Amino acid sequence: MRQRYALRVNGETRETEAEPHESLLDVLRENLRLTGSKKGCNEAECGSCTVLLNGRPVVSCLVLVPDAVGRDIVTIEALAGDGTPHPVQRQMVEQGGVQCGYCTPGMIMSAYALLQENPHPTDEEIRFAISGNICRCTGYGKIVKAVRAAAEEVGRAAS
Amino acid sequence: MRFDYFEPATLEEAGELLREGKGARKPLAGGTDIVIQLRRRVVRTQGLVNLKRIPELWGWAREPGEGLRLGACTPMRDLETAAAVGERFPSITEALRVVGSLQLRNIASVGGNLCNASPSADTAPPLVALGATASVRTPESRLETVPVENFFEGPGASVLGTGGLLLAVEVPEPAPCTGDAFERFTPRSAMDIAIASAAAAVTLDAAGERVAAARIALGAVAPTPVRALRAEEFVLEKELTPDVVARAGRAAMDECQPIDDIRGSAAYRRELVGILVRRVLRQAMERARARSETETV
Amino acid sequence: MSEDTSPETTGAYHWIGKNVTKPDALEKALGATEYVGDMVVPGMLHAKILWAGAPHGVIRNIDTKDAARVPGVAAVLTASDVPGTNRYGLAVPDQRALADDKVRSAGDALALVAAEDEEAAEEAVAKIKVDLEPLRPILTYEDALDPMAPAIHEGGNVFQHTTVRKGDLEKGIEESDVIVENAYHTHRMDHVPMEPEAGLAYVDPSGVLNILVGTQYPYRDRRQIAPALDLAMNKVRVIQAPIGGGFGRKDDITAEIHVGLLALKTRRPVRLVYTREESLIANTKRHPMAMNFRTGARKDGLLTFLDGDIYGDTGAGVSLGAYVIKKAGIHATGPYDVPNIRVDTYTLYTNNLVSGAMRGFGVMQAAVAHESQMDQLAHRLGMSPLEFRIKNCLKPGLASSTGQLMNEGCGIEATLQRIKDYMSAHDLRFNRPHA
Ligand code: FES
Ligand code: FES
Repeated sequence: MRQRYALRVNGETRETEAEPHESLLDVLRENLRLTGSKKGCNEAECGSCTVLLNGRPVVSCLVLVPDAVGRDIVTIEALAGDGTPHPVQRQMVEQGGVQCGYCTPGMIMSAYALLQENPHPTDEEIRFAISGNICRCTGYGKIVKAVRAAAEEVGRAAS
Repeated sequence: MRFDYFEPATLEEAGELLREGKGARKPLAGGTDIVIQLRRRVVRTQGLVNLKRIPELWGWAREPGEGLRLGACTPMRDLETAAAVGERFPSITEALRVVGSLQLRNIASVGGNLCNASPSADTAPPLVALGATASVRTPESRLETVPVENFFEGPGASVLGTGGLLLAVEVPEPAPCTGDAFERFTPRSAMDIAIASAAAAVTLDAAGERVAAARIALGAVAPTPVRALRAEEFVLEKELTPDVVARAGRAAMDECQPIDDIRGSAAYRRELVGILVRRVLRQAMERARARSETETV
Repeated sequence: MSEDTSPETTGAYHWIGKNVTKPDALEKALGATEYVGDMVVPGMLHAKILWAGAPHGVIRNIDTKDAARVPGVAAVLTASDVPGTNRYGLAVPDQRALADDKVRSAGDALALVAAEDEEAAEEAVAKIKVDLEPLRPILTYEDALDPMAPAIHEGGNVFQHTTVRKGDLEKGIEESDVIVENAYHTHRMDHVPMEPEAGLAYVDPSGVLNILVGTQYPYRDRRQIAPALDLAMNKVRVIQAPIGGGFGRKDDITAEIHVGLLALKTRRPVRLVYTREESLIANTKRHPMAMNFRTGARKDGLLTFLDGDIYGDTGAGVSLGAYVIKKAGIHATGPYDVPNIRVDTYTLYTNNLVSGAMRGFGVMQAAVAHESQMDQLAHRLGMSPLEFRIKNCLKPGLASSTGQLMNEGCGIEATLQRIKDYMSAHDLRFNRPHA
């Protein structure tokens, strides 16, 4: 049965209608037109749909929309909400971490979540944090480099 | 995959909703198994009863000396990152770290991993090896305690049947000089499902030499997670020399009942059991030794 | 080592050796890039496909009546609704947009549905009834080579036979002190681009069929779409959308003809987005190959001959298979100088999924065989596998298996030399090859 849901997305309350079996990913993409989160598999295998739920990275393809009610949802669209790309976004561009770009939003959300929790990650911690995000193009090396560079940049800005 | 959706606030309500469904409704915790199964249409249901808004099912508690209690709906990642869990029960943390992806473990629950009753469930071998028990609410609203090793009845089947609920898992405080370890084998280092797994909990005698007690559990090599009883018996009162450990591994190979499937052949799984049992015994022993040193100082 | 004065290091090149940021990277990092699956246009319908799911069979009937009655369904189409040739294919037009007489692989499309939303389309697909008379499936190389086996296409199951000949094979065999002979099999592989295939089509007011697709080759797409749908070439416009990874597979037609046909029939925009599962069961893969190689060398470590056969399973359509498999034959010697060669390659039709272009284009399969042969020969000769390769690699002035002169070499010698330097600097050793 279609129901109304109020979702807190990127700091705003958004009302939408959906069936309870629909995923948060579908509602973000189709109803709210936030298409930055991608659907690479729809079964929690690829990480391209990663968003933050109460600050933690989750695969939004497996979150049923009623389960997202009352929680803070952050999508890739919020990261440069004020018009300035987040350091992770900028470094992904500068270090060559973006090729076809399809994994990129999910990858950035995982990296962003990591840096929120751990501003000075080791390479191993970076690799662990993005191990649920598949990239078929880059081979990951440049993505790790980009996250490291972003961490340094955030660190410099803070000191 | 249309279905009705319920969000009970109490256990009583949840029990009632499941009873009314007469087996046609299913409980929902993290949902990381059932949502996929519904989407692939390998499972059908008329309704999902979401348990995640029931406060008693959330959270974990660890009081030194009193073991560990995990609410069934607690996200895996909560436990994985809890230092108090990793310090005393490293095998649990080792198993949690390899389930799906980090983004999945922020949703998936420990209870759900058991209730899904996959023979390859990563959290099962350590919980079995550590002698954990499950608190279960029967469809008739009775509370029961079941050892985790008796919780599973076959692939996808557990003592819960239809309408039962898993409330919590309790891991007893290990005896002094006890160490535990978990290992699994997967072709990929992330985002994969075990071809075989093993966990061990080993208690050494006061001198830190001979085995006073041992429990070994295997995953993905039988219709349910199983104990390797003959291997356990074999190591008892022995020193875990390379030879003893290797022979324990061989004993476990003989007593498991693996099958051929897309992930590996029965013969390959059996080989893996030998190797994994060797490794977890050695690791558990080292941890038991380290612990006996810190415990005696 | 002497100081590196190459232009890369000294900066004499304008671009080479420098980091260049991709112009589209920032938009992608912001999540703002719209791939086809992200696009919506007003009035758009959603398409779903009924896949064959069985490898080989005669289609007796496809009943779409119940499917057409599902609320929200705008069109249910089968092969008889296709106005043109219904054929496409990169080498030869041997693939059907919609299967007509027969099912030739599990990844054949049988019917198309367009509906107001994806769920209605899915429901309609589930209601299509197919009456299929199963035929013996041709799934192995042996089946495909069996002259008594049923032909998947007119003309038999051996689509192409190519040869590479050089020198005098008999003489090479005679001169050999060691000979190794082995059979190698490589597996079918999916490219798994992160973006599953998708297409969006609409007919514009001037009557031109526009198709947005993440393709590798819009003009070649158009050359295949137009005849299949009986349109003049200038009535088809393929618009290159951002492509979420291709690795060769999006060289072929994916969603183009299906969305195009639905848009023509419904006169509404139609979007088709594959699920990951559909992406895995349809569209091209990397060719599995079976390679039987016999290679010889002299005591002094020089290669004498290669005698080999390569069988490539191209599935139910050639796609680029004829070129891929031929290329495996041309590269069967790897980057080594082999004076006497006989190599035969066979491009075989089977009822497996169609294989086509994938990074490496046949060269990787051959490498599995020739590098394994090199290791084993080195082992038999008691030589270091690295020295053995350095000794035999194509140096300036030598020619490839097909006679192409390496006037300036092909970089292999310098590469191997660097590996050697690195290994000795780090005290690294080779493992013994398995017997
Ligand atoms: S789309 Fe959610 S993990 Fe792939
Ligand atoms: S950039 Fe293409 S998948 Fe990562």
